[in-house]
Amino acid sequence: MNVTAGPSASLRPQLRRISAIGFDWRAEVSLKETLALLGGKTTDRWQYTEDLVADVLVYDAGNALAQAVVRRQIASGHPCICIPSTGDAGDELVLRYPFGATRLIRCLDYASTRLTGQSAATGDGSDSVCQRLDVAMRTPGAEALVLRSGNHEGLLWVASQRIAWPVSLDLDECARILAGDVEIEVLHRGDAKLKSTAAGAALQSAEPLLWAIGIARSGGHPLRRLPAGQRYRLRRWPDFGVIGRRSADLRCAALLMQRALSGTELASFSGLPIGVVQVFLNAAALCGVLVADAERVVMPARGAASGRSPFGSVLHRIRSAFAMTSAA
Amino acid sequence: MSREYKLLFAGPMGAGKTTAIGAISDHAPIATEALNSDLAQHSKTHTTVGFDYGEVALDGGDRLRLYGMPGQSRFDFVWKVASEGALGVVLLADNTRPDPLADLAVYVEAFRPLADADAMVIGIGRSQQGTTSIDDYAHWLSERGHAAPVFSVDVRRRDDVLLLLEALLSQIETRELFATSSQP
Repeated sequence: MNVTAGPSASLRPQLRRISAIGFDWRAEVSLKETLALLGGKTTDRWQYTEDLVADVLVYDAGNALAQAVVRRQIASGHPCICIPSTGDAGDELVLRYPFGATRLIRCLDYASTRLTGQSAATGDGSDSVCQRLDVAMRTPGAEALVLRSGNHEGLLWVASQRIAWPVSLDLDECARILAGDVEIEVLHRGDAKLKSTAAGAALQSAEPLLWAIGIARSGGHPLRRLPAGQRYRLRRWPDFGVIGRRSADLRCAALLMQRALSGTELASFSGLPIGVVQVFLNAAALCGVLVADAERVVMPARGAASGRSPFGSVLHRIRSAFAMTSAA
Repeated sequence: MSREYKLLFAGPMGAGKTTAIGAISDHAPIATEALNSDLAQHSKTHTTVGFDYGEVALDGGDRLRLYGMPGQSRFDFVWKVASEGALGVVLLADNTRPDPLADLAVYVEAFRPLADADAMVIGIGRSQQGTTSIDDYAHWLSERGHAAPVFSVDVRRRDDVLLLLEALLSQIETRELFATSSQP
């Protein structure tokens, strides 16, 4: 599976996610198996996900819960493929069980048309590199990803987040990668490329590259798997020793290490623009340090705490002595 | 009247405390070094037996005093006295040591009051060379109820020492923010 991100990416097959709700496990297994047989026969590449947030949702029209989810999916502009409980199956987005491959291809291609039209209408030609990488890393069974940028190629091991890259992934190399196209290929266990790709290159932490992609190549959008109202915390501090020091990131990390906050709450507590907070969340999610949490918090008035801290004055003067930017 | 604030640097012998202080101090650190009589712990010829000392001038005539704690655990009574009234502590560890987590355990326990107050930060030297990952350190701390920042650092670089300091400040600010925002 190749996922290319770059200026011409909108002309190439997109990696789309499809999910199902409301029908029994046999139908779900059948859908997955049929999907697996479609490689290369559809306009876009389709990947099944257990998440309910997907590009296309397949649902049983006779299931009340499914209908509730579908209403939200349609409201967010995403197509749904209906499995009707009764009546004719005449619409382009209607499927019948058992699923025929031809009919499924037609449905998915029609959904691609809808999604492409939607992207064109919003001026968003393709998923961001961050989104594509996130999807690729979460592909079921993915062992590693081949990343290609310019004439460099490396192997990112998904579980350990270690990468074999021909040169040191310092800030300059990350900047070079971010400046151009990034091609992503998912490898599964046993794939011959696992041995041949980046042979001889020493493993290093992928965190600097993943973080840089989250911050700089999110396209201004939150990852699809990060719903706006959800609260998050960090399971550990990102390793800013290899990522690089940025006051805004340190501020957000300190907050999310001590409390679970939503994006809006994080922006309010930190005093940072929501766009800055959003790419921080994307980067943290890509690095695998962001976890969802349901803790409730009391919102302060914006900036209410500033000046009331007994340490506030001295902390400000220490920052000043070292020319550190105060993020808040 | 000018005031003084205290920042501590601690960790095993050879972790880079004197170097870290030198990277950010206004003047070269004043070190109390002697011949290393504990070569089993570290092969360097000299080690700190008293305090290392550096300082940073702050606006308004105040001073931030930087104290490097002697590394050997027989000086643990000094660590506890020094931590009273300290702004925070920077713990340094060397990832190439045989058991860096065990090294760290002594200091995390000795400076527990500061750790509990979110006033501890940990810098790992030579992180790419050892077998203990940053995840391992974070997990180990979490099991002990701590969430201190752990970063790969090279304390010869001023920017890496400033990263540790800024993370410490961010933690303290956040603690204060949540404390004051939850007051009626």
